[in-house]
Amino acid sequence: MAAVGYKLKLNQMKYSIVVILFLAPLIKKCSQEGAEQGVKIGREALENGSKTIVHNADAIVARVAAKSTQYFARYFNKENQNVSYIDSTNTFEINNERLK
Amino acid sequence: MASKIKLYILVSLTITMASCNNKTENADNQSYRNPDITMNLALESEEYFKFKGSKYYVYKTRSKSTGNMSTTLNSEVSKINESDSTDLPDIEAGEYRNIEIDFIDNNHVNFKLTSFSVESDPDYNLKENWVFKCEIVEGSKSVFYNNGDITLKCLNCDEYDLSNSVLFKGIFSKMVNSDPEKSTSILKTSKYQIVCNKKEFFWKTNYIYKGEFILDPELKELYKAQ
Repeated sequence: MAAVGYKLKLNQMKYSIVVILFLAPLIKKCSQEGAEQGVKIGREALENGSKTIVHNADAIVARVAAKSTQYFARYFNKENQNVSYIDSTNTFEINNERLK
Repeated sequence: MASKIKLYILVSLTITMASCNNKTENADNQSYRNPDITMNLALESEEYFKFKGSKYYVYKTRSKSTGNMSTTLNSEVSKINESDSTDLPDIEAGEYRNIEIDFIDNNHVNFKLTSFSVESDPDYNLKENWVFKCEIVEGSKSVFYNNGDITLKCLNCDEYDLSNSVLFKGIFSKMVNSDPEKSTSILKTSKYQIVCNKKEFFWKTNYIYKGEFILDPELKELYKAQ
């Protein structure tokens, strides 16, 4: 399929997986607000010449992300076997045939 | 006298410890009761699939969601009222989401839903491979092969809802860096209709979703500081 068709397909995909991708953007909006605020902190601090604030904000985000990864791994290791997360490809999989 | 003092100390220590435990439990419960992000949604989806080769491919979708989302970051409640309607230009575009059906006997059929999403710069990718076990409540295998419609009743929808609840909890927790253990996420099918024939497959579902997520305190403070 031509590049245009491919782009269209990607665009359609966002709308077609009704529940999963339909719900996700809603909270994405919220998390992006948070992420954008984090970026904003960095940008504003740079503009103000305060490198310490940038460093601190980055450190907090990095620390929380690392902690979150641990929580996440723990949760998916023990939770519902029909759902898995493949970290290397950033892929969630829901599958009720995997264990059969 | 000495034993009375010992008893007094023992009782005091016990009360103090009990009080500390209560405070800890209350603190945990408090954070559980006050999520930073709350979502309440009613969703309706309609999907239309067309048969080609050996599978049904999605070619049309309709969806609608109503509800609200709130976050303690800005103390605002956002009303959600969105709808979408998508017609794919050709059936090939539906290859990323398709259904295969497999008759078990004259009154039972399995349909396997396969879908995947791959984006160039994704927050995450999704793969779905789910077998819905169904009873034919209107029609039969022979009716189907004589070009008639069959209506299906899903026998393992609860399992699907449960797995989707876990999936959403995972996706959302990852997005906001929250601890999944402290979050709640419940997706429940409230109503559905599945009708198919040799040429088309129609699937309409109503869902209720409720999610509660707690942000990491350190990150929350960072966001709130802005």
